[in-house]
Amino acid sequence: MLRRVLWLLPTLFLVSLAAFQFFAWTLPPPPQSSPGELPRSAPLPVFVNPHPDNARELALGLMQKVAEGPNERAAAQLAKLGGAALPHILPRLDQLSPTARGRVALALKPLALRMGIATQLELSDPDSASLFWTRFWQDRELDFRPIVVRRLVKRLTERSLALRRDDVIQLDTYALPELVKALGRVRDRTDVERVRRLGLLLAHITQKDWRLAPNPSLSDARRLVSTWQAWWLSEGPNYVALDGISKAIATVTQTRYGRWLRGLPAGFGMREDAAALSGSLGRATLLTLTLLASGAFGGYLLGAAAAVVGASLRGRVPRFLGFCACLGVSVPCLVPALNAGGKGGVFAACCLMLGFGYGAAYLYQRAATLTRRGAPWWPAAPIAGRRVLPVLGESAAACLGLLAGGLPALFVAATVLETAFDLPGLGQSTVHAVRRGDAEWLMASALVLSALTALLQTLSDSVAAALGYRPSVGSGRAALEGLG
Amino acid sequence: MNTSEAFVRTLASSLGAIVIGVLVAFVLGTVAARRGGLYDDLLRRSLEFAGALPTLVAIPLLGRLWPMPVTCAVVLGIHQGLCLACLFRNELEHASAEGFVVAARALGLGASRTHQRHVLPFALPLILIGGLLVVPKVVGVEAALRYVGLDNGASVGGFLVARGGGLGALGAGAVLVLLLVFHHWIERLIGRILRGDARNQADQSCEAQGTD
Repeated sequence: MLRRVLWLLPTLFLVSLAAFQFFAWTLPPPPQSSPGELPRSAPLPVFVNPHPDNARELALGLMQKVAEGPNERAAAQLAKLGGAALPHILPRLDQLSPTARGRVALALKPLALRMGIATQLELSDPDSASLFWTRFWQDRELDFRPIVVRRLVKRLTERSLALRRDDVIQLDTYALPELVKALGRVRDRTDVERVRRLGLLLAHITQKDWRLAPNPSLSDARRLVSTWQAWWLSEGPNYVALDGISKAIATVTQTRYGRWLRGLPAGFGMREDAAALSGSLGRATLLTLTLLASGAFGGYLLGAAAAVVGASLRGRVPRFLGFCACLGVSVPCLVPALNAGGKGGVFAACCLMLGFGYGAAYLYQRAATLTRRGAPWWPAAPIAGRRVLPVLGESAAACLGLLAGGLPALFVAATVLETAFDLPGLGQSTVHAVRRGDAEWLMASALVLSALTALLQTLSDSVAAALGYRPSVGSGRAALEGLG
Repeated sequence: MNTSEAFVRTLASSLGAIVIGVLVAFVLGTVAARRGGLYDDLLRRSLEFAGALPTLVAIPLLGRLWPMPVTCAVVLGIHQGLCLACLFRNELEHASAEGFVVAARALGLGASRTHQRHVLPFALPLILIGGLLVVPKVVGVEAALRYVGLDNGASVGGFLVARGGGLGALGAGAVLVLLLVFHHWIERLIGRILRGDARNQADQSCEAQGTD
């Protein structure tokens, strides 16, 4: 049992890899670049990215394009890349010809205005702009270091002063990693105030209109933090220079799987429909689990008991029980065919799930029980009352196998019944996700269903070992107990 | 798509799923029961992966790449096969610990021969029932795909059931009748297997005499 539980995490990891590959294979790929954002060199690979995005290479590439000749698009992208590009561009300005240097310096004019370090007049012509940036780098080179940014952002989160704010603004996008990290978690009003301060700076630097309204609530602040974190997860790699280990790590993290994995701690908080989901997810899960439990525990138990009782009888009773079982396994056909259902009706849906579970368990259990009919322990009298349990105990191996492997079939039946009775369960949400191609939801449902299957298997094996059906499981346990 | 075409497609999907399901169940179930350990873990992991991709997710997505009847047959065959493999494994393990099996081994019968003669007959009825249950499963899943709006009905036969009305009720009724008839036939077959020939009767007598 302990071994099974310990295997659960590695299993879920392997299942996540396989399921992600399946969804990558069958769903349309996400767009290469988001509109209005910096360009991505290539579409994100699924698992390994040999050429991860990098501020250094992006900056040098854009500088090259701007230097070669008038290129407004590249100039705008260079200005958007902002402060993160300066440590890579400015030291190389001297290596360019005067004309190219002038073009690059002029392309950086919107950046200088955003940073508040120059006026239109100072950057009016190529020569003065080149001179300005050369002097800027001589004066401020030491500020463009991670440790300086960390200290400045830390001071800003503690107390906001105009001077501290200006210091961070003058680093522009170079300060983005620390600013996003400083957003942190929102627990109380102090955190809301911090998010408001940092949000204003982030909005100014990225030229986005994501700010808190006056008198924000805790949930407003949390939503804003989620929005920034989602944006950073998607666009952040363009603003960070990679070297050594960080480049090696980025070959894995800058992939579709890596991005999904990094977004996992936030759950569904980064989605646009996060607010609607947070209200309904718990209720939907409970509803679907109730339906599955009705089929798996109620239905299977009822079917197994009925099969044992029916196996010792002849005539109409076993025939009637068999007819009910065939009716039960046909529930996913009968409900759409007869257009059964209506509004609400959780109880009716649970009863039908019970019928479905009953049908499958009855047919398997009857076959397994009939094969035992000639055994010496088989009671001479009809099996009823107290005699049901011992006979069930001798022949329930099939039903326990069904408990371990019957979840996918139960999920289909639950989804049909949720649709028929208009119940907002996980099955319906999964169907919507398939229709929308929502890989995030499908991955979450895959992991939940896989974990549920693993738990049902563990439960089934434990009961089977306890009843002596599975000598291999039982002997493993005995060996472990012998060690203790 | 007309009725006969839909019927043929569903029949083809069902037959394909039965073949794949029985094959998967037979191979994985037997190997897991007889070898255990790594092979049992393989069955377990396969089941967990199949559980991660329920039929209502796997079929519409895979159906974008493969023809729908093939997709239905493969996905449903694998799902049903893995579920059946669990039942088969449990039943084989249980039967292989019975007294008359131990007695047969003690009398010098080889492991494979004991398995074929004395263990397999206990688990074969489950395979027959599992094969039979593939039919309502195929029709049910095809109907469910149409019913929940994941298929426009142009590619699978079960949509006739999902369309409701007289034709839908007739389709569902046909599935029910098919189930009842074949279930009755399988029960008679089980009876015949159990009555069996002289060898099986001798096995039962071993147990009755307390040979173990």
